[in-house]
Amino acid sequence: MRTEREPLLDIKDLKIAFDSTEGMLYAVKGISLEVLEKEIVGIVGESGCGKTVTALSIMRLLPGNSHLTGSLFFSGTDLLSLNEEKIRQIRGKDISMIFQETLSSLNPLLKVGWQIDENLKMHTSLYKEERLSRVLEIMKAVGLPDPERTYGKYPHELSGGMRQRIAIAVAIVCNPKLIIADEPTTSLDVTIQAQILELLRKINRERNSSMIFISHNLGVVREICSIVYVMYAGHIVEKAPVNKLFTDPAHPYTMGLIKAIPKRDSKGKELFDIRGRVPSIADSIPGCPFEPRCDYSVEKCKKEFPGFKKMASDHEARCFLAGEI
Amino acid sequence: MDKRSINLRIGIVLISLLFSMMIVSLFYTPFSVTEINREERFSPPSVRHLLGTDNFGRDVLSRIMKASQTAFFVGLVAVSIGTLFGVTIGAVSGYFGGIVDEIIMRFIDAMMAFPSILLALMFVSVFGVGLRNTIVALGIMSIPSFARITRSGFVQHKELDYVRSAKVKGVSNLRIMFRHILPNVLSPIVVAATMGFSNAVLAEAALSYLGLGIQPPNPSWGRMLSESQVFITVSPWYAIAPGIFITLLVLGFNFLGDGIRDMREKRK
Amino acid sequence: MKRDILEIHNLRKHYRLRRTRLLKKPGSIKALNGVSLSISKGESFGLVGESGCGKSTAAYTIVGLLKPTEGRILFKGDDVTSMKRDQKHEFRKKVQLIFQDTSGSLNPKGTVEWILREPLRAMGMQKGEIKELILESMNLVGLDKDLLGRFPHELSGGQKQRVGIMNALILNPEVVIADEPVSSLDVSIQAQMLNLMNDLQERLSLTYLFISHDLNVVHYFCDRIAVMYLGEVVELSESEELYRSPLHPYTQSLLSAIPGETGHKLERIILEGDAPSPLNPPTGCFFHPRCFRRMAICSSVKPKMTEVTKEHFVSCHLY
Repeated sequence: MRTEREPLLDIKDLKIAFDSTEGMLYAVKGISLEVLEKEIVGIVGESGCGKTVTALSIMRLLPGNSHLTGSLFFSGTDLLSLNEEKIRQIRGKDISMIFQETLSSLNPLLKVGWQIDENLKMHTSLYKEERLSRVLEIMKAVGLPDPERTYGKYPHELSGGMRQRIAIAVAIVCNPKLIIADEPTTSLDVTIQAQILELLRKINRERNSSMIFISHNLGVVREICSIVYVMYAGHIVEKAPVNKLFTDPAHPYTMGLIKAIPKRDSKGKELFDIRGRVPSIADSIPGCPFEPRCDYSVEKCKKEFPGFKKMASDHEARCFLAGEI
Repeated sequence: MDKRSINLRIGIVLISLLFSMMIVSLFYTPFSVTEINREERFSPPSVRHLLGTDNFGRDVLSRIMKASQTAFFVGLVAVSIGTLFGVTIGAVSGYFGGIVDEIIMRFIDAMMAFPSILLALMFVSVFGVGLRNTIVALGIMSIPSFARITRSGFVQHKELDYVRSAKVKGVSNLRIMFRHILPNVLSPIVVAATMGFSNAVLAEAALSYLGLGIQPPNPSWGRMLSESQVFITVSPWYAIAPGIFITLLVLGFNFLGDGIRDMREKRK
Repeated sequence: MKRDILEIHNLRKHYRLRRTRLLKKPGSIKALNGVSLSISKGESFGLVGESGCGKSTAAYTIVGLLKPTEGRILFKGDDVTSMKRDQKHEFRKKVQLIFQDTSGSLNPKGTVEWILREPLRAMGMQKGEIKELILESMNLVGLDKDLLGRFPHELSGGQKQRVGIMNALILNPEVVIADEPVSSLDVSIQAQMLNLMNDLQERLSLTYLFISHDLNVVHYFCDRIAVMYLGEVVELSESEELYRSPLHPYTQSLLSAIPGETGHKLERIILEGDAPSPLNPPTGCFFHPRCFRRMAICSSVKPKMTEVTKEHFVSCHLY
């Protein structure tokens, strides 16, 4: 049970829109979520649901044609009200990010050790020798064998797993309070993925860092997160503690996702197929965005978009029939 | 937001103007290009002679118009030669790789080691001057860059799955090269072609200026430049006009090329 | 006894590297190091392994995109590797490939119709026949014929995947090798795809070689599974049996690494270190440096493939 502590990150009614030739397109249509200290929060959804855009918005990394409304409170400060200079002080130091593709998120032309060092240079006033020892220490902490030798290597000289460890090192070297991980293990082999997930869990335990873990892989989310938000078409449709989500999903979309994954006992049977397609970003739907694909929809669903219905103190879903299915 | 880049617009405008002028010149020029008129020698620009007259009293504007035919013609044919051979060579080299690629590329490298004007000069000095040889020389001069660009595109694409897919289905290599891969590699080739056009125009002007390109009676801006040099103090307009037109045509194609490239970037 | 439709004997694929030093022999990457399999008609055979294990290399070699360094491929008993050109041509039609990233496998400059027409044209089919066949295929995979005039970038992920499947089926093959067909797909589309593939298997009597790194999907879809590591098959068995009692330590760690599985039979095994590179494979058993049950013999002697229980083969010194 989560106690009513002051959340580390408090997002309220965040809307993210982009300018385009067809007018303003809303990638995120009003979401609210919280991250408490030491928590690992998962955001799960399929492509186009808006999860990556949400993550980038927290770090204010969206392109110039984006418009954000709502509030994004981090440790009491609204990140949306800060200017570029102040945000830059926060990035890498209090909030940091890990991306999916390390070949593009790490600078291919710089030695990996320097890239970790750069973060320290920007946010601390330590001297060269102190920084060096910190970097090596961090490299050891993320499980890189032989940090001295690895320091001077370039990203392409390392394997995928090692690159991700470097990316993690860059992210944690200044002891951020919040780490945003966007599909960090999606392009890794299963055995390496297990290693990285173990590492992230360790970091969360030992360094007091909260995490937002974004993925389309429900299994990974189940592995590492304690609370999960499910996104669909720019909205959050369900929020639940992780085990509850899998044993007692309340929203038809969540149920569909879970049923669609092949499990041990699925063999020989047809997999559940959520019919239809994800609505495009330009579609504007009056009622529930999932209604056209929902097996349980009623008349009301076409006209009205439900608010959150609470099933328990930590479990809510945006569905008129939540908890009854 | 404007979809067409400003470069593209300027390029299209310039080229259209000059092209229209060229088309018109096929049927009509204000004055005869060759008729000598002693009384009107060196007359400055006027309503009658918009760009003045040259040392023989010939209307400069008419001569400029006539010479534009040569510029376009030379540019077009030279670029066509360069594209046809360059693309084929590059495609074969890039697609098949191996020793074929090595040999071809060494040839291309050798050609690129020479400044292209020098190559053209060598060619005309061996084979003689004149319209036909100028065109061939310029065509050959542009082969290497087309070959390089095409080759790099082919090297990139031949490993892509859609090519593998076609191979697995028994589509012939020839067809894969020209009907499957080539349409995907076309973009940079088109940009190169526009640049190639302007290079050809410049090169022809240079050769003709040196007297090694287009020979009389065929008109050429380059030769007009060289002929007018002597008279530059007496009738500067005669010297400036061909220079301006060369510049406009070259700029036009350069802007066009940049514009096409901008549009490609935007689409990404 | 069911006749094996596709057999692979001791398939090897070595890539020779360039000479870096004058007097030193150039190294070679042993992408495939002696793989032998036999697949029966109508079955779904799974090939599982992580990156670098050689499963895609195996697929490309079977289908003819790569030439094997050694080994034989037999289709319905006939040796493909020693076939003449015409026969090989016939064979190619019978064994087709679904590519991993379907966006890449469709020519961006071609309409759906054009993409499907090409192989048929190469075969020498008449225009009328071609049109008919294409319409039939669209129907088969559940795509509207209006999509024929669209370009790949105008299609959704799911639609592209179906076109990719059609692409593989258009020549009416008997064996379809699917190289990670659902790996890049969202969960809901993945389910659609697997259902479709199953459906097509029944309707067209297909045999599948299903390649994936996702054990859950492979377990669900396949009848038998072979696990590959660094170019070799380390374990081969019926899929439920593999899941229930994996014998090879690598298989065990693969299964235990599947995220989110509750009620694990096995304790989570976290392997040390990175996957070794095929350039410098370890001596003896390739897996021994990372193996949590290694013995002395493992670093010097390569284990042989043995049948431990009925139809369950392992290559490990523990057995």
